[in-house]
Amino acid sequence: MAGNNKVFRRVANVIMVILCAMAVIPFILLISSSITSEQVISQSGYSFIPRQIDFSAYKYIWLARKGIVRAYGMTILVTSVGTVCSVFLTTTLGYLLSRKDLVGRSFLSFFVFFTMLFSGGMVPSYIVWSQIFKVTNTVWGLILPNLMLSAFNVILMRTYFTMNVPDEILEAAEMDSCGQAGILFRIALPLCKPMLATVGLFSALTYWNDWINGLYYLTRAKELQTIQNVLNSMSNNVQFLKDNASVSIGLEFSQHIPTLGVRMAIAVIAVIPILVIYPFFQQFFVKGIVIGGVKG
Amino acid sequence: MKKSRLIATLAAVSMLASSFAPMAQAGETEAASDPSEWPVVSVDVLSFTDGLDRKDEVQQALNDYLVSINAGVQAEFVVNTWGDRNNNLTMLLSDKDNPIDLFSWRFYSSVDALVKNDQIISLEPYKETYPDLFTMYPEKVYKTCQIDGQQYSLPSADSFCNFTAYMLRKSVAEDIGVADMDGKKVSLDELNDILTKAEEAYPDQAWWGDMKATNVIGFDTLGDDYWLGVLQNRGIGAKEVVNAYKTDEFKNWCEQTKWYNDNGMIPADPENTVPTGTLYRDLVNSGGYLDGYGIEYIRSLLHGQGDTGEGDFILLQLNDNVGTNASVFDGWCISSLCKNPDAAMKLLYLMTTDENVCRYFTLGIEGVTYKVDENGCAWMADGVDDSTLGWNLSAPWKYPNQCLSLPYNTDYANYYKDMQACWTDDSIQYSDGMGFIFDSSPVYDQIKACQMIVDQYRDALLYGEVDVDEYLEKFNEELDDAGINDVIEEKNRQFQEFLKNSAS
Amino acid sequence: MKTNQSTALYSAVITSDPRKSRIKRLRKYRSLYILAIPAIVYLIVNNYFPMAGLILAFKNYSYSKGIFGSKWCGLKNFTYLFGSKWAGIMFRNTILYNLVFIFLGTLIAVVVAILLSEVRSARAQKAYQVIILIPYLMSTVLIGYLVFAFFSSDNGFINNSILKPLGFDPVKWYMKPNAWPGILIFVQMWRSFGFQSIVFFATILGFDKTLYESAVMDGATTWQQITKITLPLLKPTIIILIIMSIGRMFSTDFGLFYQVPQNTGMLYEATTTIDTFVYRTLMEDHDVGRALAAGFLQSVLGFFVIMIANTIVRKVEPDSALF
Repeated sequence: MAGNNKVFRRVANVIMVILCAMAVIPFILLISSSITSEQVISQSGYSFIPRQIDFSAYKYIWLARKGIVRAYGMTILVTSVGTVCSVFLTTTLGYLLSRKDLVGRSFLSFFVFFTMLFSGGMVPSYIVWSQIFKVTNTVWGLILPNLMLSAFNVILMRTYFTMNVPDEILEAAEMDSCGQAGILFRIALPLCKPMLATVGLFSALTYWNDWINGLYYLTRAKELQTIQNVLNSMSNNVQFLKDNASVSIGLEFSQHIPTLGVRMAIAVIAVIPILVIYPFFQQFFVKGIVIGGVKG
Repeated sequence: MKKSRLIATLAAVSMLASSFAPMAQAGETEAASDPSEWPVVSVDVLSFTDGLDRKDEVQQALNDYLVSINAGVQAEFVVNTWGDRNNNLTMLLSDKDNPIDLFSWRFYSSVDALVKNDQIISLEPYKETYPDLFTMYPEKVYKTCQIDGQQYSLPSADSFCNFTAYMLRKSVAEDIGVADMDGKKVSLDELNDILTKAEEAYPDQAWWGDMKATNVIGFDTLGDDYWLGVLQNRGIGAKEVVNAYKTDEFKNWCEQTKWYNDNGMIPADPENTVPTGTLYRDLVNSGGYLDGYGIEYIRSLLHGQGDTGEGDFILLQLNDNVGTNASVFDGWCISSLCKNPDAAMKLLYLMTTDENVCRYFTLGIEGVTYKVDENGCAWMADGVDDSTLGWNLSAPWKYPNQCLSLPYNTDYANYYKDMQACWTDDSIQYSDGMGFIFDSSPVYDQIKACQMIVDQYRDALLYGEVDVDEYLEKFNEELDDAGINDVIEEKNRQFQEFLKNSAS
Repeated sequence: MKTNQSTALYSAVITSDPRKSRIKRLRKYRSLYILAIPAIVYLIVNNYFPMAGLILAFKNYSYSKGIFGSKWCGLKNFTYLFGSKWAGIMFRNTILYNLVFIFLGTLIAVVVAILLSEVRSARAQKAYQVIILIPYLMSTVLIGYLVFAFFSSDNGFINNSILKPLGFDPVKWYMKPNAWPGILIFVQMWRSFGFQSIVFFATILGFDKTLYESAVMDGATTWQQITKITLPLLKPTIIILIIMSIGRMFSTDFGLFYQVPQNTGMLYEATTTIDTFVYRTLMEDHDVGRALAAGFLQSVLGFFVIMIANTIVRKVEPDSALF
């Protein structure tokens, strides 16, 4: 029987290796095309092993490093500020909802959940943020709209609190006449580090990968663009060219369009930090998730 | 408790939003004496890829100049890259606090849609203040930017007529012995003979042009990229709107491109290949169609703005100069949220009539971004290169009056003079549909359904990737189902009305 | 600590003390309410305010008059969605793709999560987790390039390096709508399986270890442990996640259906969903009312579907219902 289990584990390992290979192979193609010249690609096709190594894409990035470093800095700034705010909002709301004898608990739960169902759409959202809160062309335009609080995370957080903070501890703390806020910060939070890490990771990923806010809210201050905006802008230009294909326009653009290699190289650069940071988060992250219903 | 707060805040939002209506104050025509109190007008400025490093510098230089002529208005540049411009303009045009004031509609929208969405204001009130702005071009040209007889947009200066030429790599032309035909007029059949020879000599290369070459097919599309109802013979003497996809011209053209494709003259995956100069530089492609009002103009377009790598091209003219709706490429508008339309109009006036103002936009700052040679042509300034230039010099056509600029990166000093000459050249023919603007609202749903069908089928036909007879028949059946006949009927009805009105 | 999540979850409701007066309870949690105010205000501002904009679905939006100043126009904004063959195609595609994504995606993620939990080497487990997350980190634009690198007809990897050496004719993938449901489903599974399975994996790790230990003591095989312990414990999570995704059944990831097939016309029958249809038709109109009409419809339909799904679940499996 033990042998049986061993076989199962071996199979599990084999399948995981295959899956990992599938996840990585396209990424290798990405790297390989970032070091292949476009001419080689158009003559002999894409391949995993570059037929002729050409670092001109990275050279181009090096020459344009001023802009890229700035965009990188913006990404890091936005991701860190956004993640901290997001974790704060998620925790406070999640903890509030986890209090079982809370007045208006089911209303509040539904209030949170409902936001997963309806959204007002892009332009109304833009009008609210730009006209009432004036976030356009400020760094807040990248941080505040849409990304800061996800109902899904609140529900995760709430469930985690309900399940991992035993009532007895809370009651004991109440006896010690700790304020409720004190209980949250001194007792509940230390018990919930894994969940904080999970929510932190989720929102960090959201902020890191976001380009929509930059596209909508940086109508003038292009210097605030993040690395994803730079990447997205490049591909928008290429897409535009394709949609309006005509030779004369194509010619005018050609000297300004970064080659496929450059686009791939920037993509590689944008992904790497997450791959480096993730393993450190991960030990907390995997302990964090318990998914419960809205009312929980 | 919470609810009432919510309602109060909602009410606040609604108040804010309902005060959207443009402030219709009669702006002062007298300039305030202190330039820092002058209204600032934000202007759509084009960048090809990213931000322009010298934006602030050029803006400052322009504003200093505006002060020196006591213009009473200052400018703020809003840099838009082509790819993001669509989104950016939509956002800016709904930003009540800080909208864009002056912009042009090319690659964004049409005058018709802009008016329907209430995005722009009528320029009629300014006809008396700036009469010269409304008499620069042939009257037909202005009509293309009018809705219900009101001028909503000021057309950007161009030749307003063009023909199509085929460009062929000179080394290839020399090899197959046609180099001496440079600048000559040829028929499509003659061109095909040349291409056959070229393909025999260079089987690896493609001779691909923009397959939507409407001039070669012979349509006046009436400004509709989907060709839902067009005029034949490029609109000359046209009496009615027809279904483009049922014409012989279209079918012949599809058979033509099929022949190109079958003979390996079109590169792989044409629908997903961007026709940039890279294709030419890498010797993937060695031919293509270009539109322009004159052979020399096209040649300098190719030199000045293109990047085709080594070697020259010869040009073969395929048809005559004709003006259609589609040859009015662009026009400038004032946003409906603009807080000071009078100031915006003043700046638009200066951009169109003052060569110094114009050149800040088209060329930047003399000595910094460009220099002028003894011929009166502009070149990139000394000490800068493509990556340190910081200003976009290759899109003079983006601004209201490129004719006040200087020819850039070319020795063809008459580049703009010849362009202007077209405005008064009586030998140039114009489409009878010039100035006809279709009000699509009665058949909106049918149009949208048909557009998707066109996207689905047309490219495959135009790139010669499918069997023409079979595919075209299916295409037409689907279009019929989607209601193309309603569209054409309505378009024709409006067109007949238009003809009657323009005759009287 | 907890033998069954759902009992722990729902026992919570019972333990609350109904006799305590509301005022007292309000006062008790005063500081927590205050702490949560920013979050609640954020939701109101960010999510509820813009909902007022949904009335634009029934208005002729004027950029100069704004949301409340624009004129009403009845259902005019909705008609373009239903006028043609595209109505059938886009609703069919949206729903079918989403159903496949939801169910196949969950299946794959659960299987991978279980496999991952059976890997005993800590280092290998960690490495697997990092690697399978890579696709999730790539933007759809980039995935579009990669897909093109594989499927392009002349230079593509599949035609060039697989079909050609094997002696097959190259296939023009971008002209074959029939191939695209498969490609798109594969791409979606490829890029989302890592993230989803890690969510399930983390849930599995939270299960009570003693259950497994006693099962091993009773001589249960790995297979039995999976079917008798892991899956039943995982069931509420699976069901809740499915119900949550069903709410978005009428919306699709624009990038996947627009950028990945490179907006190729010939593939429209296979790639048009409600979102791409709306984008394509309104690209040049900038007609906010019509765009919102589609969004409104998606939300309302999603709302009904989620209500129905939840009601059914509540009847059959009360413990797993979302609300």
